[in-house]
Amino acid sequence: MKHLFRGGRRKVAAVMAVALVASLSHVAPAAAARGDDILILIGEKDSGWCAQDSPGLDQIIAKNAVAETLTIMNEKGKIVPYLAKTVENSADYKTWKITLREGIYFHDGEELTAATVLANLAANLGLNPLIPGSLPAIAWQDNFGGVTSLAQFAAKAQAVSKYVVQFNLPAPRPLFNEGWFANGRPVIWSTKTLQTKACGTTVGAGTGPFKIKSKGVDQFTTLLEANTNYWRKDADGKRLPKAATVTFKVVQDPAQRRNALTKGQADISTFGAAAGPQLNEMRKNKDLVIFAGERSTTWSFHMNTTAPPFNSKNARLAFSYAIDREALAKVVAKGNADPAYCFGASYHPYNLSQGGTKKCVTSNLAKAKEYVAAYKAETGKTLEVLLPINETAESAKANQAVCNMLKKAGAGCALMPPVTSTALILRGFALRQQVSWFNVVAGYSPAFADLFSRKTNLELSGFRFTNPGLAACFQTALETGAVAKYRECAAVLHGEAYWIPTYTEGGFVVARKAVTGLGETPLPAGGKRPVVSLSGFDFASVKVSD
Amino acid sequence: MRFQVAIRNLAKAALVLFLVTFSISILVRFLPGDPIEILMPFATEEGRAALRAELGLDVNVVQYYFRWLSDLLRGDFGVWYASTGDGGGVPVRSMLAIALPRSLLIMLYTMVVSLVLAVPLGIFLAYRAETRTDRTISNVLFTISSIPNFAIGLGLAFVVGVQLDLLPVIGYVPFAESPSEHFKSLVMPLVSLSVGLVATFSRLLRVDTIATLREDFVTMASSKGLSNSWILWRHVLRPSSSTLMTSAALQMGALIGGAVVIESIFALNGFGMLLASAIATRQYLAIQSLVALIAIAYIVFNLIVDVLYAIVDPRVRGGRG
Repeated sequence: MKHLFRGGRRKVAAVMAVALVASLSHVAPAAAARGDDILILIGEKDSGWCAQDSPGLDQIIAKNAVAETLTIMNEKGKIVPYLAKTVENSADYKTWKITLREGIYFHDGEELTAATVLANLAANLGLNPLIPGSLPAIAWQDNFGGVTSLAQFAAKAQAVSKYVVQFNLPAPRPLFNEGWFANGRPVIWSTKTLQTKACGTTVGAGTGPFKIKSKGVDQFTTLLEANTNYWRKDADGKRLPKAATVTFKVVQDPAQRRNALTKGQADISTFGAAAGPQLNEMRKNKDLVIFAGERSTTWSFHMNTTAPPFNSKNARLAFSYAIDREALAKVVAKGNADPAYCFGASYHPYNLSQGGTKKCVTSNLAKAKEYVAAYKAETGKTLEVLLPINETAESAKANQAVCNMLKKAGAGCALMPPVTSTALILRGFALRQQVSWFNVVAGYSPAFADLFSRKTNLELSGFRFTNPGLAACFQTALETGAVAKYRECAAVLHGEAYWIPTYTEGGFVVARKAVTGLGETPLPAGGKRPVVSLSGFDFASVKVSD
Repeated sequence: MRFQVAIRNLAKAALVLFLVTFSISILVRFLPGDPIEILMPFATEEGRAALRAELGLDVNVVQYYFRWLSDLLRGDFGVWYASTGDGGGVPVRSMLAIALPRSLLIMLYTMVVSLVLAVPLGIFLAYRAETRTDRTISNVLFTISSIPNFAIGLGLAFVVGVQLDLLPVIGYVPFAESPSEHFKSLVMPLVSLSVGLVATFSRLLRVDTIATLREDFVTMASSKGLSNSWILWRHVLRPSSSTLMTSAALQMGALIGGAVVIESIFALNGFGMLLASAIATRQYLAIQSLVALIAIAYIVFNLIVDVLYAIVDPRVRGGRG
């Protein structure tokens, strides 16, 4: 009896210990709650949303649910006013006037005014002392011809009235309005948000359909709740958003994102073309709907030409010829992407395919081997490539495929340790990587790609330093907007293998059939946002019916 | 005497902790890439210098170490830096409050499940040593222990989660929210982590038990007419379990930070993922604090095992072991 009692006490103690630790577990959202609560799975973890941060596509989707841009891309690929009511320009594209919509409020109660836009622009320019120099700052500095003080800033950007801002640019910028979209990056935060260093990390008041409930402490889960004061209405004039909460959960393995969707444990998930096998399996599932973006986004390697090995043209050409683009599209993407022999879709100003009839580059293993040998003859060294990857399984998989292709050509290749998308992007801009595999040529407009191809410090190939003539070419193209000029410059990009196209895709969003309203919210300027695009998807009207 | 032993053990533990954490202070500096480049690549020189000072990179490694240690002893685990530098980051302690209990629970459940299955299996295999049953099961266990746990995890998720629709494939449900969903959410991760451990533990116990069965006291017990099961459970198991306990203690420490792949597959967001993320983003202070916690866990579990040796094995308790 005594033994039994003692044994029982141990058992009770063990159960109590388990219960104690279990009760300490942080209460966090777990499985998808149905109805008004939406669970969206993404592959990229949170690494900041403020002006200085450079999240990848998955985090931009989440960020754009909270904070919005002055202009936006509609389903036809055209940039239209969004938080702005009108965007006007002078004939020489040097003076721009943005008139804001009235009665839009941030989540913290502040009204959207010209002063708020100026505060955001100052942050974007790196003039906010709380927010260090950043990627957007470089781009915006280029637009404004260098602004280093608030006095200079005041001369170039003024509030004409409560809702009107005017910008005086030193040089023509025909696509200045598109810079306020930049695939969802330069969002407008409340003034108070910009006055805290926690901006975009754990806090952030935007004008979007959802506001932050918890973010940043758990890097893998972002919880948003409905903004009951949201300014947009649905097609019937009813209040938005329809969902009460949205949870973004990071699941890095695409197979598990597919499993969770298939089981109904999640409502929506994003996928890249590198998740080809999972996408093809989900097509057979009648309970899922796959939204595919238009295949107009080209993933290209941007070569760092300022340092070995890609300061050598032989190395760059070896790399370009070694890429088996058909294999990338078929084996890695399983048909969910097209091999890219030029940049972007045939209608993009950087595209030289003449309507898809001409290849700008080719894949050729024999030639790749020749150039690997030429590199060795030139430098006395074997071509050794280090490919950076982010933390998603797709990134590792696609880069490993490229590594294998380079090895076939006789080059050495290894993957760098995985880092966040933000770290990878910024490290690329700082020219601390041999290459960066990015998707800057997309859609219809050259505006976003222009940030990377002219004299901005953002050009990832570093050709500003090694080929100033090409940077000047792109500068002229930008200032004139002439497609012929863009194509003249793009021909040099190909010829020198500064940027190397790999495959073109459109991105994928997969939702359960019970999810309705995806991408259905009308834009105030008419039309809708594309369901899948580089700035994510519009889920202000989304609801789950089970 | 006992007091002296306790003091000696504590001193040993403190020395180990110092050596581990100080080594980490040195090793993190060998991680490729400047953390400032990763955290704030476009910062001004002043901003970079400020962050360098905050991270303790402006002083030598000894000064850096003692500054960190002093903070740690005051309960400050450091800050997870955002791109705005100090003031914009998240206290590591807040992040630990989410991640650590999950990982502790996973570790605890995994060890309980593994031991509950491995102990009877190991005893049984020793009892049936060198029979066809023993050889067959031992070979199966050997095969199972060579399968990586992520492969088991993915396989389980697809078959049990998707095909059979029995368990959730991702996510963690806190016990306080729903005990039943809590256990459901952890079944597949636990099985993935336990399968290899069951194989390892049972094989270790089998070997030690076979050796114990050859001891004179077992022959004596048998000649007294005691039943086989009584002899196995009361007289053989205790002296045979020292290797098992040592291995279990090491595995417990390893599971806290080392279940990163399983945590990632099942989206559990535990300590392992936090540590992997800290390394990826060169969060020096967080790496240092998280590794210190793992070291403490190893030390604590090994101290517990030292105590258990004495409880379980009378020879150790009597100083005869």
